[in-house]
Amino acid sequence: MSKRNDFIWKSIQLVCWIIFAGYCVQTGALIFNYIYSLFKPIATQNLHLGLDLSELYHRSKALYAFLFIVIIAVSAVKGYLFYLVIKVFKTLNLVKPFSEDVSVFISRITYCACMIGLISLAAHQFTKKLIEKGIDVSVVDRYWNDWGAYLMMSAILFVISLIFKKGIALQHENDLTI
Amino acid sequence: MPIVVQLDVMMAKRKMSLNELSQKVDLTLSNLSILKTGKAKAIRFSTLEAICKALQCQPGDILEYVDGDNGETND
Repeated sequence: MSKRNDFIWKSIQLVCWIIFAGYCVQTGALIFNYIYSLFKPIATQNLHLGLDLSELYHRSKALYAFLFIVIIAVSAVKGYLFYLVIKVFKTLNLVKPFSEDVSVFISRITYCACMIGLISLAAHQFTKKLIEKGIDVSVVDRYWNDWGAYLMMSAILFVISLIFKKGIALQHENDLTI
Repeated sequence: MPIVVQLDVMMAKRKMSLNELSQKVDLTLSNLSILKTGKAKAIRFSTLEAICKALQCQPGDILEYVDGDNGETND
């Protein structure tokens, strides 16, 4: 690998680590604040970086719990996705890139991205319905306004995983060519 | 696969060991073993040429086409 590519390679790894750590902290903070808000309802006014769900909490505790669990789930799966990306970087051997392990990780990333996209889309529609009913929860939209990007990412990764599987078959054949 | 590698037969005919052949054709023992056990997916002309030269035989002496069920043991 050239010096420039090596630098880019390490930079991407570093960025992935930072994003992964960010999502871990965010998920932890959200879980803590959710549990805390169950005992101290006043905390619903500023749950995480200005997230105010006090109106929803007072209207319906069940809806509040549901929406918050979805926020936590999306954040956790995003963190897991970046954990998988880090694993891919650790596992990938550029001399023989087509390995079964990397293929499994790419498939998992595809499923994760698809899951995030679909959950975010459903949550986006759900919050729209709540807003139509007069409950202002537009502030939570920032947690899933990127659903389109994740769905597109999963579609691209699906194609890449198919190409990767073909690459594994070709590399296997090449290994068994004497 | 209906192509059967008869390398062990030719080696027995020439009374040549796997080690000796490995040195003569410049192939690793593991690669020769893959070839001998029929696990190989393909063989390069250069390898075939080296084996034929070492065993003083023709490619047809090493490779055999077996029709039907007899050749399905390898793949």
